[in-house]
Amino acid sequence: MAKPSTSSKFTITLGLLFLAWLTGMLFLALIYSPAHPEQQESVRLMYIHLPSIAVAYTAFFLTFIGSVLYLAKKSIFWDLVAASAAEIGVLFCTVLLFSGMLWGKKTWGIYWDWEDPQLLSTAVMYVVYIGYLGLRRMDLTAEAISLRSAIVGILGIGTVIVVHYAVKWWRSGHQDRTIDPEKLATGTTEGIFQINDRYLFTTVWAIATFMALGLWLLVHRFRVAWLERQLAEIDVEEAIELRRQESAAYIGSER
Amino acid sequence: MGWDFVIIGYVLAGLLFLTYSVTLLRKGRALAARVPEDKRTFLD
Repeated sequence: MAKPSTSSKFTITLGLLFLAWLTGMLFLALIYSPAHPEQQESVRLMYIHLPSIAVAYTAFFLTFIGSVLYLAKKSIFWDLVAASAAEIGVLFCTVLLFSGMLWGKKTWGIYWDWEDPQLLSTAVMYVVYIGYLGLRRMDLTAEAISLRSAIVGILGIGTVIVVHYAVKWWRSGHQDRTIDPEKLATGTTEGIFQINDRYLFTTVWAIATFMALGLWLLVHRFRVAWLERQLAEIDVEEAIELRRQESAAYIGSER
Repeated sequence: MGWDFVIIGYVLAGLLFLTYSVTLLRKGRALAARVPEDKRTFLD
């Protein structure tokens, strides 16, 4: 019999699929994709930067959905989905930030610009979700943690919306959305990043690869959270049973 | 021009994902071993 773990047929299949896609992605990103006329080789950083924000957005949206459903149904399942998704979102947001900083240094000459609304709002979003994760580890009852983090999970989606529309709402040095459905429909490829041909194919492939990784990590993270919850309940049951035995022994000795 | 930062970016991202994945798998295995089989729901 296999050792107990959080792996299953689904996660093993998904993991193998991810590894196959990752091999293809590395070939596309590092060999197939040409250097960009303006960004040179640093355009290759976009193939981890863009998929990271795609997964982070999806994860934070899932945190929002999980938080709403927790409040509506008081379901532990959705509470743990929200918590797991937030952690995955923060992980991908970390990759988003440092890949963006490296790209910025090569393209703009600076790692960070606090006056850029896109960068500032992304930093705020990152801090909000790190705060969410901090809240989940506070010394409170499970119900209090679930309730408070659900509120943060719902309010937090506001920062995601601001990040997504920051380029449109405020003047920014950051480029416009790379894959814009409206642009794709009209075939417009204006902007710093000429999103066409090999760049577009590689970007879409990289997003699919990162989505597979994000889902694989999410499933495992959820299962870890679920097991932690089960273990906590078992510990409480055992502690109650121990107390019962102790008081029974004490009463017996008194008689 | 720029290959140095590309390599740094990819290596950092790879290390981050690898460390997180391995930690998650190890933690999952340790927890699953402590939880009785009938309570190991959502694992398949």
